[in-house]
Amino acid sequence: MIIAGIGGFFGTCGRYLTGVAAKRMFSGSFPAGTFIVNIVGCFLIGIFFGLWGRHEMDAAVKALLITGFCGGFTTFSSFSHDQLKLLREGKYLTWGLYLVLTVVLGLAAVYAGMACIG
Amino acid sequence: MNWIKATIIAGAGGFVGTCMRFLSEKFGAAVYGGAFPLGTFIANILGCLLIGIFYGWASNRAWFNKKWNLFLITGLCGGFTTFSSLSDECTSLIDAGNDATFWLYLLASLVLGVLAVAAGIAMVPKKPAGETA
Repeated sequence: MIIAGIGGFFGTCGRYLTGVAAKRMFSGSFPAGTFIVNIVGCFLIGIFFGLWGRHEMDAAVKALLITGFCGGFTTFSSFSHDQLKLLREGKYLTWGLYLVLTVVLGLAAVYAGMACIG
Repeated sequence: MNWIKATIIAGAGGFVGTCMRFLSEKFGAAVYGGAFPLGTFIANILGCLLIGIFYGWASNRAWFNKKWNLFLITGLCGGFTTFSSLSDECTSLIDAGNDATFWLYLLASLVLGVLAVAAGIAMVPKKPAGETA
């Protein structure tokens, strides 16, 4: 558990810093920071499982990189809160785009990560 | 507060949240052996409920400052929930041909996630201005 927590510490640090950078680079209501970490995190999980093997991966490595880093780097709570906020603000087009892009590109990113390793 | 301190506070919350998710995944696997990723699902929905409560506090409690925001929202909720595991579990279900569980898991996560945030916000009593301590 502690190993996972350590991975989560670093993943969360990365997510926070990405969010700060995204706020500076992108204006507008599309939640760029959360979107970027979620898609990149999905890509990374594909890479890691591609490198070590989903079923062959050592428990400690899995705890650190998958449960820990990828789990800390990505977020479902902010994604859900972002959606609620967009809906309450009546920004239905942005909400729909955000939802569909996150889900579709998230899945594609996992496959792409695994395909990169081959 | 400088950015290094802010990052560490967020990271510390993420450490706690990730430990909680680790335990949730263990619990889920222990009580249910089917294909539905129960551990991740519980962590994600509970995490959404918590983020709603914390945002409720953020908007209506004077004591909820930037440090609490970093630790609880960016940190704990962000660490407790995960999008990468959700996506990976979905690809596993798709690859196994388990379309029914894939759709159930995806849609239940998305819908209940947003509803849980709203429920969390609604759970926080709104104090009048001047009484937000």
